[in-house]
Amino acid sequence: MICDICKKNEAVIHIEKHAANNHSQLNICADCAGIESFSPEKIKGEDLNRIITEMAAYQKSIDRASCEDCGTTSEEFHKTGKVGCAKCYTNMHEALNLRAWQIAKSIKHIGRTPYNLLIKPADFADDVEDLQIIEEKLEKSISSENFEEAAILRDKIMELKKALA
Amino acid sequence: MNSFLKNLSAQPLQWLSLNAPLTEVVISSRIRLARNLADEMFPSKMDEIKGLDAMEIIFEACSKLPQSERLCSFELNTLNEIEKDLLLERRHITHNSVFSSITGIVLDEDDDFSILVNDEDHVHLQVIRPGLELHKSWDYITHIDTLLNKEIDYEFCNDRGFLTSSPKNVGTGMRASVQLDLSGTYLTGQLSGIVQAARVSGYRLHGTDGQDESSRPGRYLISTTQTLGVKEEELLYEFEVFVREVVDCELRARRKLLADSPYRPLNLVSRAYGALKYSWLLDEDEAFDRLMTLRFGLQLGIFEYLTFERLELAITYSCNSHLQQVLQEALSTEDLNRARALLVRKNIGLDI
Repeated sequence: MICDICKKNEAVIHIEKHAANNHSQLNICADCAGIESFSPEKIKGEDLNRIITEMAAYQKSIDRASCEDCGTTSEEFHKTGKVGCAKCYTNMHEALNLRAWQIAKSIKHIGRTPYNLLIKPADFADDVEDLQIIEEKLEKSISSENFEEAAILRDKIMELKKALA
Repeated sequence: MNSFLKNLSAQPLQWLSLNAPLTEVVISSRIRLARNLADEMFPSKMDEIKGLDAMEIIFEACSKLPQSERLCSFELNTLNEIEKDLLLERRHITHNSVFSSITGIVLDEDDDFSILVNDEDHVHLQVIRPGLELHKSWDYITHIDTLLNKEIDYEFCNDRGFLTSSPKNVGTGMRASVQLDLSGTYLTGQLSGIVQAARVSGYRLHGTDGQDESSRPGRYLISTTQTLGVKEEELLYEFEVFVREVVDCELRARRKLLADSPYRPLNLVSRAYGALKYSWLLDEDEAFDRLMTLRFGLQLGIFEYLTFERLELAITYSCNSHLQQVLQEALSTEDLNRARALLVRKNIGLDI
């Protein structure tokens, strides 16, 4: 598990808070905790103190997070379990602790797609546009008798059509 | 009372009908889809003007559905308490529904389909049918979903799917649930096995009042929980396989009870009958629980003083709002309980 503070190193300390309706988790690496290595039996009192202070500061910054589009705060979310708008999911990604809500980045939606996206899938939208542009170019190159360019464009169109199919 | 709702209240509860597959164990099945309008804040963050605009857009879209002649839409604000209870009893809203000034509902004459507007999300499509009818319900709900989507754009993201106000629904926005009568399994003490199996398979099993499984023994809800990283049809297929296994388990338990200890179900059913026969005050929950126990007795063939039709009527008219509709007056709780006791006695064929 990656450290929640620096987002680089492997976390070695995992702290969980279990309260009614509010489970939060913090994972930190040895660097961010300000220690060389971590073993529970060797840890000194002052180290533990510093770790907890650092954690509290991090937790506070998360608790203060809010969505700039609709104004929902993370505190509000943890109370009601509801976000205020679709943008909350990106604006407050960390604060929402979405892992706990099965919304991990690795799990992708594979179910139904809205009607308008079915007709013109978003992923292919660029290619469809490209295709139109190239077809126009092809027409131009033929009318100006630039057959060398036309041949290249024709191959490109074939390729794109294959990819889209 | 509004004439559309009045017509509804004159019919027995649609979701309780026995004219469907596997009703001996599966009381009803329900599918819900959560959708939101694109680029709008979710209802909890909407002011009244925006909320009413959104409601109008959705009502307008519904009026373009091919079955729009059968539909009727309301602002919940305009309904009185009895009418709201009617929607609750016919399972179109739940105790958790938000009643704000921007909430609305679209109902179908057939009473199996509804669209809740600006509740938790902008649109909650729901199909509820008696017995185990998940696949037909799914076909129907997706048909409407597609048609509605031609009129209104949904909030959608390629990776996360449909975005909803609760992270629990993000993805497909779909939740399927079945209401089961597991009195047999409860009596043989095998319920914990089913609870365990449900948990392992990723389903949630709880009491029909939303509490944990022991709060009101007999009837339970099993619902799907996963919404992300799964195809709706596949989830429904697996869910139905699971429900059928539970049904088999319950039927085995009932056969075992009848063969090994027939007095246990007989005791349960007769006590329910006795309580109904001799009560002067009967509250809604007790009436429903005991009448459903009589239904269990009828299905088991150990109770014969009643027909299913009479029972269905008794259950329907022991619900608060249906009862007041029949009596044509609003009553205090005590008067209601008294009237219910009388009506149930009359309907289960007993004179006072």
